[in-house]
Amino acid sequence: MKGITHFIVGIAVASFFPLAVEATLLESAWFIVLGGIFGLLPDFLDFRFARYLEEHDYEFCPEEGELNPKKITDLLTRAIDQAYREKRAVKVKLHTLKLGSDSWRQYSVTFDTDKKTITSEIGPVVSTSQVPYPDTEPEGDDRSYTGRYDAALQHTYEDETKVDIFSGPDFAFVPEGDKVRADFIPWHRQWAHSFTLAFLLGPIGLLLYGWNAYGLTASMIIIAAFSSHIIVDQLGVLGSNLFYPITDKRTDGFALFHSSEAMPNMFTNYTAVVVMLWNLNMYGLEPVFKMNPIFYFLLYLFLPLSVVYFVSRYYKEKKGLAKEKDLETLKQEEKMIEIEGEM
Amino acid sequence: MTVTLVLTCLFIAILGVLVSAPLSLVPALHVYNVIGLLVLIYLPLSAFLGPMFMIMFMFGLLVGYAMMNTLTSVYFSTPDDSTIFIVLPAQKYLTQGRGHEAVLLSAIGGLIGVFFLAVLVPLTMGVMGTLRELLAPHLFWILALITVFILMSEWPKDFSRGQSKLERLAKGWSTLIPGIFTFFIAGFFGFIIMRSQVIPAHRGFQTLLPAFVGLFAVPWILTNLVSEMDIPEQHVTDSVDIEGKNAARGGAAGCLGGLLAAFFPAVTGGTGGLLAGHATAQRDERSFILSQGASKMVYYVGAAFLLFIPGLHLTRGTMGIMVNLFYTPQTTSEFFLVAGVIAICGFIAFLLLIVMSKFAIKIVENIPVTKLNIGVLIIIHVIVLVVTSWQGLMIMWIGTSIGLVPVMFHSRRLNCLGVLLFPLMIELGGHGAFLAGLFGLS
Repeated sequence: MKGITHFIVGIAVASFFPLAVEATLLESAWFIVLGGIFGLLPDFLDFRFARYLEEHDYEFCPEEGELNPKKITDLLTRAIDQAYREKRAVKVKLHTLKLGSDSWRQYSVTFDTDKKTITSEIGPVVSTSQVPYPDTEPEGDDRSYTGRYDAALQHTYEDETKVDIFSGPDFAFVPEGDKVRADFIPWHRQWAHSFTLAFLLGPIGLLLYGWNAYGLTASMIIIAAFSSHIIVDQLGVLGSNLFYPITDKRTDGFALFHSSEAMPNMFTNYTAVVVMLWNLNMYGLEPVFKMNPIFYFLLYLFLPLSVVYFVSRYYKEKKGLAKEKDLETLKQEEKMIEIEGEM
Repeated sequence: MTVTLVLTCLFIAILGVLVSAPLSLVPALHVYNVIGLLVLIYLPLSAFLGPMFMIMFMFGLLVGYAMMNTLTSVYFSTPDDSTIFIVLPAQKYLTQGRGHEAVLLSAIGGLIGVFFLAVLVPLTMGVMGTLRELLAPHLFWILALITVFILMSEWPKDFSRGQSKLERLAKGWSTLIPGIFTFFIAGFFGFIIMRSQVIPAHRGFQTLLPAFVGLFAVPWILTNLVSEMDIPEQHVTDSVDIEGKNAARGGAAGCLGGLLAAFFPAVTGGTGGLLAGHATAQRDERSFILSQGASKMVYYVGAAFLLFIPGLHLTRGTMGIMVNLFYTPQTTSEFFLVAGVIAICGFIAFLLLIVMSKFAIKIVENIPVTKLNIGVLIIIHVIVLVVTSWQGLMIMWIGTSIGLVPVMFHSRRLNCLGVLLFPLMIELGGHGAFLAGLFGLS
């Protein structure tokens, strides 16, 4: 899910605690803010810390004038075959090449699993907005190179992976049975997306407010908001490493939706806001409106969401947009979208 | 309300739109500065000119500006607090010769915003009144949450290169820490200028002008000067390439964001649009520009419109405050009159924007970029000096030095909005007096 969705869900979770709403109103306490912070924290930890703690077996560090596509292809094919041969995960990082204050040399990598080839191609110089500068595309046959690997590779992301600005992508080639699976951003949704960490962080509430009702409420908000992130992510396809270090890999999500899709994000956000408003009204000092909860949720939640859902479904069916994709492809897409910087 | 009165009001409002067109091309000149000066002139003359006529003129100005202020952001790189997010994609379009297309996208968003204000807002009057009552005591933590989200959602822009984990971590945070620093230093800056009387008292309502210009506009101009940006020949198109569903999503996100900004103090149209864009999982660049157009329209005009909503009468935005100085809206017919005026003025401003964009293209194509940027810089200095005196220039330069921090360290310029968010959050949380004491302020 997108960062703001986790953030809003965390806030909604905090609003379920009557003492939190009351203390926020009377003493400008930070209880509800804690919900937002800890709702967003798992992705914050991943993209601000975990990514830097990852060690790689190979790193490709290009230099201008020496950017050789053969080197890139050779490095990747070697890593795939090594993973298969040595029956261990081999991690690779492809770095970017900065040329000036607003110029980067772009290159790309494309996997063809049918032909067992990898093609690396040197692209144009691009700005930080990823706009190519005119006439910077290299010429000649040596701008691209295609090499073969021997192992059977499971890699379902069909598009080319472009490497251009800031930090480049990383892959883990993981042996699985008689195949090697290519895994983007292997450090994502591991320890930082575990219920274990949620419970370890809980005592922060006691540190902030002491061993009293406030402290206990803050601790429960922290655990609940952090867990809400993991639960919401689990509804998607990728899943999380739920009980790290007891579990050592991600548990597949329920695949109810693709976490980067607009509709699930909007529906979750809207639901969280409607629920939060109900809670604020109910637990506030004086109710602003009085309404039967069934009527409230029917009118403000189910009715508008149903209309949007059916209109969107009608539109998709009419345009033939409802394309089925296999689970592994969806997982890779979910990761690619997350690393594009839209937490 | 007679037909003659309605037609006169409409005529005056259209006059306001026409006046806003040339004003919208002046870098750093904000419509609120013009409205502030207008009210100063109007107050002694109020016995001779009915308040509704003045209000209609102000609405015409506001709608025109909200539609056309995209021009200075796209062609001259001088954004205000509500257009900072348009500049980056717009510069991309401009350097590809598609500046006019960016303007059109934003204008379509503006039209969607006008439709939202004139048609949908009247339908939700009751809900908005309840929401206001419910959320008013919660403003402190809502602003705190917006602050937290801005700080936590910044993306590191490093290269992930380093011999050790610690080195990589330090490099990653080398773009995040300046962002956090910018937010708080801009926040303290805002707190000081709001709490102290740096600008002479009779110009006090213009306090934020030099700060905004310094934080947002001048750093862009300086960056353009240093990078020697080249502007190619611009292609004037009559159509834009955007799918209906992307336009609808962008428009919806923009309207939602604008409404957030209009409703909550210290949240600007740009921030509101950005948050709503996140919330609606917006990814398309064209849709983003369109949403920002809708957001600033709903933000500027909606904030003033809230004052006219029967049962709500919420004073938000400088225009709302200014109107409240000499008039309190009372009837539902006034509300519908304003709604109608917004719709008609919005459409006229849309058509006018297309003409003004072609005029702006002539300027950027005929004046060398360096000279254009230097000229814009001079205009900015003159406006700030005239409106806020030399103290304003000092504030602008301090703002510029803060606004350059994110430019130098590749962090988000959005952090500069700490200038508004931080002081208001502190005041609403009841910590204003304590912090003022620390700074030795009253």
